[in-house]
Amino acid sequence: VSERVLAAELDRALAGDDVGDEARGLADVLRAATEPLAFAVTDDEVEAALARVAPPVRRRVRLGLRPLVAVGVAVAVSLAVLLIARGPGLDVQAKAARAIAATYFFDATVTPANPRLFPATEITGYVDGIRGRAHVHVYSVSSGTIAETVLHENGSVERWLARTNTTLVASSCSALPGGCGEMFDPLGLYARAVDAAGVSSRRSGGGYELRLRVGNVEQIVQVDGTRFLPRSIQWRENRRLVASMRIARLERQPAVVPPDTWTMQPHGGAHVLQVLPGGALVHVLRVRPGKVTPATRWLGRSYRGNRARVADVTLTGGHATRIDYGPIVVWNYGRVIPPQVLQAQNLGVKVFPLRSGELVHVYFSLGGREAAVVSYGATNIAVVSLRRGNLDVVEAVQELTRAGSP
Amino acid sequence: VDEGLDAYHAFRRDQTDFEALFRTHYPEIVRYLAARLGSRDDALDLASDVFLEAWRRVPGLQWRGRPVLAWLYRVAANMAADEVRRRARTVPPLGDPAARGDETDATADRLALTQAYAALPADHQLVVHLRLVEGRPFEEVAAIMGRSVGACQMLMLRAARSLRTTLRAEGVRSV
Repeated sequence: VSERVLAAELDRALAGDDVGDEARGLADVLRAATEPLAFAVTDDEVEAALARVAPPVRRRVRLGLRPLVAVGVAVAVSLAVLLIARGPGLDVQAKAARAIAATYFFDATVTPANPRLFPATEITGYVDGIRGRAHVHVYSVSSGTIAETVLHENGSVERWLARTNTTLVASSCSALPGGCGEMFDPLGLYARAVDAAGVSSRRSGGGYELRLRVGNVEQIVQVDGTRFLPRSIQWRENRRLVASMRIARLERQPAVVPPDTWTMQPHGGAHVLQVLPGGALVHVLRVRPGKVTPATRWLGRSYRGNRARVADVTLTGGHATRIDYGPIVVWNYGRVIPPQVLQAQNLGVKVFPLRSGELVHVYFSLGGREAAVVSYGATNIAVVSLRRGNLDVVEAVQELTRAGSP
Repeated sequence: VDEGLDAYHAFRRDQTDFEALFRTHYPEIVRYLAARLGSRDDALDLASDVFLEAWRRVPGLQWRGRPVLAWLYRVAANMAADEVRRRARTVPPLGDPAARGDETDATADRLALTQAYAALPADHQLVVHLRLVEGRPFEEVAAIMGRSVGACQMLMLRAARSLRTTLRAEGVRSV
């Protein structure tokens, strides 16, 4: 009897089937060894253990988190500052820039200079030193997860706040209220760091100290003398120390990381809002009958028996074209995202490529809506299904064509 | 596609609902650790530590096609190994005759069985635990362990043989 056949026979023996002596004997040994381990853990034991572990999680709503989020995230992103600040000149600076030019997983602790400002915070996540992306989670030892922030390659940012279960979407961090201001705008920061050539270095212990200055903010970075990777960062504002960040882990990732490394994780039932650069929230201001142009992407004059109904939608800060096909709706829009598309994005995401090479993000919402979103340069297309729990949008997004196509 | 999406959704749910994750998986992590540590009470305590780590780390996990449970078992295995190493420096092993005292044959056999099981390689132990103690189908075992069904069945076979060999060497007559 081959090993594989015997292995399958052993499984059948464990299920009680009549098999050969060898498999039956082995099954008896396994049953004897595991029989005492199949004990029950009572509900009381589970709840008692949960109460020991979970109180910090439940306490989080009582903390004033806003300054913590603002400062914590900003300091976390100072790592990204280091990654993209590559001024010419000193050898140490160049080596540090080369060493960090990759995607890293990091784990760092942020301690405020003034303990009353915010509790010690742990920040963990991924930073792409080449493309300026970041995906960080902010935790407090005492209160659990506080915030999650994703900084995209194009400078746009998403921030989820645990306290209010709200996700804010903005074209840059400067649009976010009480946030990290210019610290989160990678292109602007990069330009400033390079133009000002404001990076200096000196020996410090067994390594080096780099100083990066952007406006009234200065980061003092201790760099490992062997690998030229950062070990700690001090964040100073107007020469006063605001917080210190100690980097416990900095692990280089493979050249290709999964696409959802840079995707906000789902937060069930989160209220998703778009914030414009001036701070205004996006609303639908007006809807009136519209027409498609040759560049409009749609599903044709009718789709699955439903005739296309085209509407021109005026949004706060922008316009969109909405094409209704009964339970399927196609949106063509620019930087301002229609609220219906945003609200379909509060549970999960799946990513797959179209045959033409574009990447599709399929979002799921707690209410059952689904949206497939694909970007074509400055134009974004979303296919939204108003029906629950089917994957209509996956099929529909692959059937989009330009209205001007033959 | 549907199965993949279901697994993905389950992963995300586990990430976002810590209490549900705890209530669903704490008992099986306790049972797994009890085999590694030889004590139910110690397992209850260490399982809490596993979930403390989960509370800190699970929200940041990236989807790699495996359930959060796979990560929990990995952390539990590492913590159990650390604990066993720590004890080895301070506590006489269970097999130490001085620690056994008088035993009937049945108790001695039972003890030998427990020790033989605890001494199995971690992946052998895990496959036996998931399939026999938790009663999961091999498809689920394979998903948690990141291996094929056939590979898991082979691990189970090797685990059984290893146990039998050890027990025969110990003179246990019932195998």
